[in-house]
Amino acid sequence: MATPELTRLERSFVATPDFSRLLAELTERERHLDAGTSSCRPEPVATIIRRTSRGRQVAFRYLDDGEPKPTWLGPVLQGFANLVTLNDNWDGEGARRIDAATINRALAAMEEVLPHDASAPSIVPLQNSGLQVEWHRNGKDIEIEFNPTGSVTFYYFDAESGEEHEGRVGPWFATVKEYLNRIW
Amino acid sequence: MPDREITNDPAIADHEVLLRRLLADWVVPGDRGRMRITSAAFKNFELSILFLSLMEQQGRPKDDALKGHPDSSLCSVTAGLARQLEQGVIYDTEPPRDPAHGLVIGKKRQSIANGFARHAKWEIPSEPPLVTVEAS
Repeated sequence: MATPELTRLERSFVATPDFSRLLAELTERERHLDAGTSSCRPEPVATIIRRTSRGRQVAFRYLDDGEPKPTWLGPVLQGFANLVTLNDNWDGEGARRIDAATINRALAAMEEVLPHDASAPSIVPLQNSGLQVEWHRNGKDIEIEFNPTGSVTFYYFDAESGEEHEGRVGPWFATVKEYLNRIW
Repeated sequence: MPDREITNDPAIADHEVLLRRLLADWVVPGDRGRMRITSAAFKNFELSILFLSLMEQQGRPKDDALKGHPDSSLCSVTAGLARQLEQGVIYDTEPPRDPAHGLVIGKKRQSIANGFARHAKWEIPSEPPLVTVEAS
């Protein structure tokens, strides 16, 4: 299945070397997987999805591969639009606006992490100019924290068992996917 | 400004109530039909709070903590909880700070921030709001 590409229309997206490489690798991998398979799949078409927040419009680019859009797409884009439109001092305590490159990295991670029919997470701003994506379902909590330094960490908590884990997110979000599978 | 060398003031009793203002973005849907406080509200290294006891001495009601922030909510934790979570608590009342202002100081890993979020008590409103479904 082709990987749709989801980006926010801003220069900072291409200015994030790690993320650019990640996308290039993904694209290459999908090419290999697609080689020799059906040739009737339509070419993905770049579509613009707009969301309004705080009286401003935010545009996202989505490579539409003709498949139904993920169930989480609309709420997730609205969540990110809500971050994009925060200004400096959004917390009343002097916080800077949310880092654009961090937003783009988190957007890309959503495609990597979420099954097509997953529940949409809450997307919240951090005072260090980063952001956090979080789910609270069935007595379990999962957070993924994206920091402007580039570090990405996760947290898992099960209220019933008291099981608690946190740490750095590894390649391809493998650990996070394991925990996410516990809450769907 | 407080002396940053002092990262915990032992004169502040564990039962002191610390009020923390919650932005609307920091109140998210929980899984029991109620909104909940996100740990994002408790991640700053120097976390701004107001001492309830100082506000009372100053004749100020709790909702004074939300002055100028009509979309915000208010919750509380105790100084004792902060210390259990490896944090220090200090006064920070010098102008231009609020005369009841203080700081909860320390690195807040996700487990620590979540410890605050789980144990925080709702003050205004007094209960977590119901989750409302919004069209996406």
